[in-house]
Amino acid sequence: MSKKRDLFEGVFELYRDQIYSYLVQSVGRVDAEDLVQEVFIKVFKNINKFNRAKSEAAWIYTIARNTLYDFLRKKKSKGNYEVCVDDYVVENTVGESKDLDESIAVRNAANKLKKDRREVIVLHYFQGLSYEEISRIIKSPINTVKSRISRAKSDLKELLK
Amino acid sequence: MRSFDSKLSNVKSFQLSKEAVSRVENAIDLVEIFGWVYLASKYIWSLVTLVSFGYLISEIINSVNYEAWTVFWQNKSVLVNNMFSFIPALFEGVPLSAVAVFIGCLSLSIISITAGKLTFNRINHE
Repeated sequence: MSKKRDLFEGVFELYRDQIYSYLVQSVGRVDAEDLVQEVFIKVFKNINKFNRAKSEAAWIYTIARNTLYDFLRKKKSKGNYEVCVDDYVVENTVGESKDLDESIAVRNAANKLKKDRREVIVLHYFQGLSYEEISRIIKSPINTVKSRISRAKSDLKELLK
Repeated sequence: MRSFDSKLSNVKSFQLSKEAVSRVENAIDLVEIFGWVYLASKYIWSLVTLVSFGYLISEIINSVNYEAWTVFWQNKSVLVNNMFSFIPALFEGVPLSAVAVFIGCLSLSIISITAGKLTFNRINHE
């Protein structure tokens, strides 16, 4: 196996579920599976630019985000596109099923947030990225990220009441 | 009572199905193989075109009409008006086969590289 392929396999193993979870939140299971493939093909083609010294998560999430937005732009030009994170992903959910209903409720509520607020909530809380990583991904200052998260949390609290 | 932050952080993630994982791996195999084929064909065609260009240049040097060129350089201002009728005279003696080989190689190279690139992009999207 080539060195490039070895590096890719490691990255794929580590990030496939994270990227899938990130995409499912916005497009649902079927489209997310297709997009995961598209994202990782881009990752594979650009793996030589991959720099472990910088945040690898930010790099991969940036690719995933750009792929997602391209997809949503194409879909929206064909009509409305709304996603509900529903039971169809329950069987593929990681961890115990104890808090599953709550998780689905939170994810569905997050989908009702404004796009920029939803994005930071998803990246920070659901995907576990740091403020700095999010700031790199969305190309905004860290303080903007923090204030967006704070506003998004307030909105989410209201929605979950 | 759990804080709101931990409630958000404990949201469950999803797992990519085994079928989807193997689909991605197969797609990467295909991209990898096609990547090599595309790269090899790009280099081979570039080399073939370069060789045919070298052949054309050597044929021009060997058989070009030097007299016509001398006339051309000495009477540029006069000849500039009927340049188009004069150009064939400059290349008189250059074998058409060398020109044809070069144009053929260049065209095939452009067609094959473009087709390869389009197919590569198509594979990526499918």
